[in-house]
Amino acid sequence: MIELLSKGAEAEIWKGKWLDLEAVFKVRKSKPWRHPRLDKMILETRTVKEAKIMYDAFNAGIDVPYIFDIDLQRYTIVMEYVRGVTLKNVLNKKEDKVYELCEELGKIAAKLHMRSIVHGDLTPANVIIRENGKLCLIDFGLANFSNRIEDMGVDLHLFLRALESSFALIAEKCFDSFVRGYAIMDGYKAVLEKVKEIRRRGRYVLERRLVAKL
Amino acid sequence: MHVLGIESTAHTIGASVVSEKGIISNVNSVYIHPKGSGIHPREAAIHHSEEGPKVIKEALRNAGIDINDLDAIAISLGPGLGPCLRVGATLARYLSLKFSKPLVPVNHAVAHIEIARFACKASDPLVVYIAGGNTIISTLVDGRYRIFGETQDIAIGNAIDYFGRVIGVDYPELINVEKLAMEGKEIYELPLPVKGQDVSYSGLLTAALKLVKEGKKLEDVCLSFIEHVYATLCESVERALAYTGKKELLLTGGTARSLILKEKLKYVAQEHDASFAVVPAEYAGDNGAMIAYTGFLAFKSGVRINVEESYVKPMWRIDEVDIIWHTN
Repeated sequence: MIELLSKGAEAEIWKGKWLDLEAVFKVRKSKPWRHPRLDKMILETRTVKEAKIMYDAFNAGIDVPYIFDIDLQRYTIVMEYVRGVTLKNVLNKKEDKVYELCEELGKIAAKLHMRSIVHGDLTPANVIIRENGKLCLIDFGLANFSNRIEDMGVDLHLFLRALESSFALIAEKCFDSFVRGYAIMDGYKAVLEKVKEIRRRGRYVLERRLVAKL
Repeated sequence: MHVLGIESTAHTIGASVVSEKGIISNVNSVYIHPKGSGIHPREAAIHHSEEGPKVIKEALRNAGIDINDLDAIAISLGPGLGPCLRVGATLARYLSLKFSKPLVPVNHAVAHIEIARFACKASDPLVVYIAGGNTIISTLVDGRYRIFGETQDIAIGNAIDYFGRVIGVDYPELINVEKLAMEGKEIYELPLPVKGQDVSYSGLLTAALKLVKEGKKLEDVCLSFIEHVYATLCESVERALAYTGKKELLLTGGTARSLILKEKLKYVAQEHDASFAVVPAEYAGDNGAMIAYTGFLAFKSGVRINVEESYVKPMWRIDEVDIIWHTN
């Protein structure tokens, strides 16, 4: 019994059984548009790295899917199947609890960053709200070990960008809630400053020009 | 209804007339930079001021229309190089005042998207706009072209052209670097800077140029560089396709002329069951028609600007423009 759950940008997510447990099989796909050597290089390093980082996040007390197995021949990670809905779905419905959820996510991001882990793709589609209401962070495909403020800033920047591009009308309030949760980390203000800087780097930002003049 | 459009944001001065019948004339003159250097804004501006009046006259003549019969004049006010923008803007303001024609402001990046939508008959695409000055993955949400991914430093066309100039290939650098890459065999590992849906090319460029300095075989360095650059872009595009669920992928901008990238993006679209279209070559690089066409859409929706307020905006972002002529 195996069923395709989603076809993401870089991997297919299948649902099946591992021993007796409901499991997700994250299978990284070869890309016909990548040079074969470059393709193999990318697939191997990313599979290993993702598993390593998930394990570390789990040890840090962050809710992530539990890893059952890794198969490097097929570039596959086998992990726990998490029941629930994504934060993206909840945002779509514009329910009132979204602000609480965003604050909770801010706390999780802070915990991750305090363990020198950056997620690399912190968007509402990568957060699952479990049936018990707890947030589970998924897809560490672009995650990295890093304690650079720059990389933490990119996490926040991406979350804000995702909010603005798809939920423009509630983006600001959601991000404010996120920041309230994120503030449990010492030095969170430096990261927020970095986010502003990263935003200015986008091409043709008026503010960037004002900064250049200073 | 006839709208004259004027483009002068970078290396091209162009003029075009658009009516309900479509694009009825499109005349462009390109400033060719000297070998080994990029666009010199002042030199390009001098070129534009010499060629501008001729280009406009020819566009009107080809369209068979007298300037008095125009309904509006559309002008590309940015983003772009200040000195170049000012030439087009000055011409447009002058014509607007002298012949009492309303002036319509057009964002150059929006125009690249609109002309591609028009030429490829795309209804609701995810757009990949890549050129010497821009690398933007965008789609229309809530009345604006929202940015799903962009470069955090230099544009993709800029990176490839710069690389080409350093290794000494002729204009157009993009095509010549790709031709060398096709002869390469070895792939060297370079940084692959995908930051979520954003990309960044300056580090990758530096790393590739370092390989050139180390005396690695040029064809191999070109292959490695091109493969990394496009792998990064394709990945961002793929993420945006997966995230937005769009079923049309549309490639536009000067770098859309690439021979290799089209094939790669075709695969990307296929994998996500999306159709794939590339802007026709005549509308890929900067051109007058895209400004006239977008100006036509904007003018019909009531967009105007007073001459006194028609400042050029070299840093005008695409997501600052209200798109009131599409309903979705």
